Amino acid sequence: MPRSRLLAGLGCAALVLSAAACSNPTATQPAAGTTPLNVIVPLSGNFTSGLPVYVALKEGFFKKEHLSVTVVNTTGGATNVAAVLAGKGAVGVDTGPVSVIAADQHGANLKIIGADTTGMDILFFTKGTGPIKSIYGLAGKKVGFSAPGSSSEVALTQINSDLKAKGMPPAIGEPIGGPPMQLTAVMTNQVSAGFTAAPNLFSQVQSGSLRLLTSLSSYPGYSDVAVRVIFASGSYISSHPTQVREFLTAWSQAWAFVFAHHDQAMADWQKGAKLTEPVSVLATGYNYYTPTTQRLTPIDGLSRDVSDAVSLGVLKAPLTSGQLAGYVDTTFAGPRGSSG
Amino acid sequence: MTRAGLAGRVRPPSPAAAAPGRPPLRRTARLAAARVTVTVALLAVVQAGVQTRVINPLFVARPTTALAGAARGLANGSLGGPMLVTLYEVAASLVISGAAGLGLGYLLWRFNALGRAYEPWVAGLFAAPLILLYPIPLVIFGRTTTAVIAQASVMAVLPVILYTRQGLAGIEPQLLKVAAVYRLSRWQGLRHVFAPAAAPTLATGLRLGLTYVLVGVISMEYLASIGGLGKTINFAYLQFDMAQVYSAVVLVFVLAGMLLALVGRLQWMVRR
Repeated sequence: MPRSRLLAGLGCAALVLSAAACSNPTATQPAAGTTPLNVIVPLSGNFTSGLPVYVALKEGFFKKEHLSVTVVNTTGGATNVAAVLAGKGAVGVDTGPVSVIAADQHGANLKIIGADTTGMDILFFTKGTGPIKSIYGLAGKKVGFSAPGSSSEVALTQINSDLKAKGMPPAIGEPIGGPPMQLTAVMTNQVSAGFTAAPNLFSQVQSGSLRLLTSLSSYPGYSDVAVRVIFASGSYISSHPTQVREFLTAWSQAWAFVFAHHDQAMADWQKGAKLTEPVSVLATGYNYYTPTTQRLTPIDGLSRDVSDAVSLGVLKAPLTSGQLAGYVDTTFAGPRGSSG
Repeated sequence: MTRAGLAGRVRPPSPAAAAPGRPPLRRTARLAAARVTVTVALLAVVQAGVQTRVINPLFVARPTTALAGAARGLANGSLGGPMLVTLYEVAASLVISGAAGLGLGYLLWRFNALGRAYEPWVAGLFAAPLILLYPIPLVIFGRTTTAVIAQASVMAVLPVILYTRQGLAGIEPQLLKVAAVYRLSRWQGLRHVFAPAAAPTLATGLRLGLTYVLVGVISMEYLASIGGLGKTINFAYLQFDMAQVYSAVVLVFVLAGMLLALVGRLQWMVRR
């Protein structure tokens, strides 16, 4: 090869590599006068996390609070916590409180700063054409949940309590992952039932290819339990208390908007998160979530979460109310100027 | 360079080194000492890093904690049970991929047209990240150890096929003539000529196969939360129990070392 052509080739390669190194498709330049903040969001299609974040972005609630928010997606649960610990984001939403507490017990400096969802919202489903018609058909069958200690595993323990009360053998839990993986596992007969939360997979429910086996009333003991929370790294809370407060303020404003302007909120979410489901399907989430379930404070039922985690072997020992209080800091979730 | 100069640079092999089989005991001991020294030194660096918090203890456990945890886990069964499951899956995958790989590799060598037609495909598949196909065995075999064995076997069979064909193709033609002169049966030729002559290459294929079996089994267990040590690592990671994660990783290393030694021993037996 002639030397000039070789040099030209190397020059082109260097240009391409440097261009690739300089570009970052997910990052955006923060607007002037705003503070950048990366927020860890499990799945953008979740009503309880993707919706408020994209509404806040679209309607300018973050900008109004001088924040330039970048969404960092994970697969949920402990991966949210791992993302915050790895410095990919300072705040995580829609995360099981047990994951946060378990990490903190091993030396992570994390704080729960608000409730994300209060009340058990896990829905178990099976094939629409399958033989299982109710939860009692799950006796002795394999049922999917996301990960150890997750809200879906806790929901499964409740199903098993009901089965036990009827003298039936328990369902066998299989840790599979989020709703998309649950759908694959159910449709390919790896498990008899999987879990979802509205409106994930509701297109299939509406078309009849999936059948729901549970409803919100299936877990009466969990109506006042915070099943998922918002958390932040302790060091970020210390160094950026104003930004933490601003984030939670924008979050609350977004939820207020979501419940006041259904159509606009759904359109914001669908466009922002690039969701393919029709708005009519996305809006089924309103049948399951209310301003009460999406309240930021009070964070209720954490002791119930912990006792479930102990019985599932995720936490080694129960916590006293004093120990539990050490994992929580709700001073930033109150009205502006109250503290922090 | 003159012939005399070249001769002066080449040391004649010692009788012990020239003889096929095990290396002399002193050399083995020196090698083992060197390996242990480097390993201990690396572990000491990690230990110091974690102790001084240069390495975040939230992500890396102290090696002493991991080793003690592995021993404790074996004693109380919390890691011994999963290790046995992984050992079973690895052994089954190794037997399946070994037998299938040796057989298919032999066929590709024996029938040249087959070899020319399919070897590029096998080589292409070998270069592909086959672990991405992990949902397929789950669909076919369900969430069972059979799915883990199937995935690992598919990943491991490819290097065994390639190295078997390569090993057999590399046998000196004189050896084939010797087998013909002595009128050896097919089995005798395989036992006394082909296998010993191709043994180093076949063993390399099997060793590579073992590596892929281990990667396949542990990855599949981790990704699908099925079976033994991979599932244990996944669960412990989700609970941020890094001591348990690295205790299980220690046992994966132990398993790998044991099996590699076994393959080495097999190679030595065949060559003898």
